[in-house]
Amino acid sequence: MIDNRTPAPVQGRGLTMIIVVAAVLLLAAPVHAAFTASTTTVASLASDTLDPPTGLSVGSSCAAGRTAPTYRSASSASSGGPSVTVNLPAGTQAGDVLVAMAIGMSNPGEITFTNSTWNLLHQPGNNSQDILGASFWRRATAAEPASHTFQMGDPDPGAVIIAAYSAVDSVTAVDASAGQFNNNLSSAVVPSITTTTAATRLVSGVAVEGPATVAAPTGQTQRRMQTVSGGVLGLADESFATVGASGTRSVSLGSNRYSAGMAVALRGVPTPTVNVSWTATADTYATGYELVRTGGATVTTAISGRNTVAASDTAVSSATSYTYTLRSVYGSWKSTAVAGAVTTC
Amino acid sequence: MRMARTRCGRAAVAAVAFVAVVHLVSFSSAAWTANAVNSGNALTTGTVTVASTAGTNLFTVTGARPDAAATTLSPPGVGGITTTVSTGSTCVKVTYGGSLPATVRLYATLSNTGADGGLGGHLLFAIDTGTVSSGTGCTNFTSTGYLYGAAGNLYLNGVPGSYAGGLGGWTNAVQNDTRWYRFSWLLPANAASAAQAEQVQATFVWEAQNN
Repeated sequence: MIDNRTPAPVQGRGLTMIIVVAAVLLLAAPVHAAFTASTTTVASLASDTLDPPTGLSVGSSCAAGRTAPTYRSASSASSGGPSVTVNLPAGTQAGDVLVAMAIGMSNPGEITFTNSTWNLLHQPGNNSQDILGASFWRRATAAEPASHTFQMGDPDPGAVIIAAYSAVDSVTAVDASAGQFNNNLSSAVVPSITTTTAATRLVSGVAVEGPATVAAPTGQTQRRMQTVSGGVLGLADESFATVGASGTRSVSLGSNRYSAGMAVALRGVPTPTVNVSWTATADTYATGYELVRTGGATVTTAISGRNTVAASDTAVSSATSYTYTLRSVYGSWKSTAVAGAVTTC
Repeated sequence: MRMARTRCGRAAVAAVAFVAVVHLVSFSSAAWTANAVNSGNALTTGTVTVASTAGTNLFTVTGARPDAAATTLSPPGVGGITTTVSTGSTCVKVTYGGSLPATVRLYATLSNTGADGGLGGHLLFAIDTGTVSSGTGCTNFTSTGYLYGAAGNLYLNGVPGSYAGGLGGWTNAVQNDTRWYRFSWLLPANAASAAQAEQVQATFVWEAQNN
């Protein structure tokens, strides 16, 4: 009986102790449940899209004005005959115009073309004075030979200078030309020519019997001088702005000599204008446009005003392809682009 | 003797249970319903509630574009920013309705959409608190301090996203305490072109947790 009853008080005390300990723990480390509540509200923001201009049109016109051809480089050679081979001027590009000035000593009529691609302009000379000048031109091709050989009729001394010019009119390269023999004068005279367009490049060739050097005609820039046994050859040029007679150019020789003077006026390229027009962006808050020209150097132009719907570009080269890209602008925002291409005249 | 021990143990159990229940009522504050565990001991109900005048929409803006000139956000001391397609402000009154003292904090969860990460990275944002002498809008709002963007050069994306880092200053809120909040935004003049055709949805949360 006792054995059966004894455990009860022990179990009761144990349970009491457990509960007391639990209560103490609860009091010592109180539960701190974080009860929360919240309220929410939503802000929705969406930005606009700046509309691009539409209806972009890009065209080219060449109504007026030309740009004078530009000298690129020159090369020269001489020989005792019967031919002279001259390297192509450095940097020659397809489309450049090559001008050749030649001098032949001894028997006149001894300078001739080696092929039909060179165009003879003038051969001033004198049979009895053993000197001949000559002027030629041709347009460089994409497969331009590395050199050109000028054949002379006899194995006599000769020299040739070739000068390359860029930005020459693609239709009519030579606007005017002339040549004259100067019979024992103290100056080598280059004849006057009458140009029909403005902004030409006036190229002069002077072939002189006797001296070792020759200066450029007054007002011109010497591009090349080539000596030859018994004479000297010079090539010079200048930009000639006006239409009409160029007047003569001359070189003082110090004493009377026989010489030949040749003049060639290269016609400049038309000054093209690219005209760009469009329909205004539909977004009335646009402040203007950004026009970017690519092809050659990239040029960016800011155009003010949403209602400005046209622009012209005169800083372009003839016969060149360009792409124009147009965007609407509002402050730092730019729209997507519209683009158009053109090849100038 | 055994009977005396038994009675004593039962009394101890009852006492401890009562203490435990009282402890729970005193140190926890769940919004529960009244709950009696021992007849004769009444228990009170604790609540934590918060509400605002904003409703479900704080504001909705479409077709936003950069301001013509402003590159920083400058809410006025009194009133609100005139809302345009580039800027605006909205004022909200928040009421704490709980029966237990609480700390109320403000944070936001953002949902950005856009090619370069969404509009929240381009929108300047400011939140300040203040008083409103009359009315319900910002007209008579007088700022008393900024919770976010005091210098006018912080973006919406920088608003804290949780209670832990929430914008506070409202501690020991008691029932029927109110606070006015002013939310101001600006799409600045120098906002990147990439900000076009982007969106952001900001869910602002006032959360109260009992102290």
